[in-house]
Amino acid sequence: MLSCRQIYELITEYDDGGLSTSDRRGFESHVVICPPCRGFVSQMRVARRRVGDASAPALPPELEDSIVDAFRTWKQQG
Amino acid sequence: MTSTGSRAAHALSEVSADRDLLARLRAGDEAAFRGLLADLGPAMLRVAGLHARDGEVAAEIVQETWVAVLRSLDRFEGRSSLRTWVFTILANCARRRAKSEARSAPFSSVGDSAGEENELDRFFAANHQRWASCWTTINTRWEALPEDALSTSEADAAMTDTLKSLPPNQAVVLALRDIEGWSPDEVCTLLQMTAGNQRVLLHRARLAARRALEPTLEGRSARC
Repeated sequence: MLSCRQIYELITEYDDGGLSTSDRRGFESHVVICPPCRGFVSQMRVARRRVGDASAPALPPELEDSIVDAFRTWKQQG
Repeated sequence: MTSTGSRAAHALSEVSADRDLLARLRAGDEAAFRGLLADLGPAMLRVAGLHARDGEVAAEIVQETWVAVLRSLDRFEGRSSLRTWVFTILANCARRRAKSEARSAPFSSVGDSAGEENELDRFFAANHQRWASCWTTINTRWEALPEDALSTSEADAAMTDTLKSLPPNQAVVLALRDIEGWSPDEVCTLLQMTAGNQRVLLHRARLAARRALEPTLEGRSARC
């Protein structure tokens, strides 16, 4: 039986499908019966979603302009 | 998790989208180029920032990469995705630059683990008679919270501060995996790191993201 601390340590590997079949089963059967681990798994899912929602900062406009200029020069050179 | 079938279908549609895009780029379609730049540029700047001493150098690396991409565009054979190809050129430009400035490789270690050490207080000791390695905290289910509770200005600010203060290698792995949607293999190849290192960096970064939300969301959960 995995401990709560192992669930904490293995969750990313679990999510990436990296655990062996027996560890995967152990992970799932622990989480089913352990409310604090169910809470932790839920919290990690929310955190991932919130990170995913964070928009990537756009390129600084002067950098974008200068790259688009490089494209125009390339195009002219054919 | 994505099934193998739908992943293959996705890869196929990516190849076909790449082919269309490539044709437009080669024909000098500026709108297509701007679209690609908007898609890839922010992540490129993040990756370049890992190798550069400051933002100015990172911007130069990104600029240099696009010049190299345009110069080689006619020779690109589509053996990898367009995105992978652009990032491979970026990584080469960044490494060359780092070498010329005699900077050490950014991924020599998995970095600071101070935050994680603190979290070990959240568990009873491994030799505890009754609660060995169990949580000392309750951990409420945040997914049960309404959407407006999850996205308060406090939670947003805490998340932004945390993402900014992550060690750079954790920040890049987190951004590529959880914002840009890259696979673990793609990240390992680009950043030349082992699967184990990639996972440790991602794990620490995700734990930090969770910790950032805790002060606001645990308070709300308790009131629900």
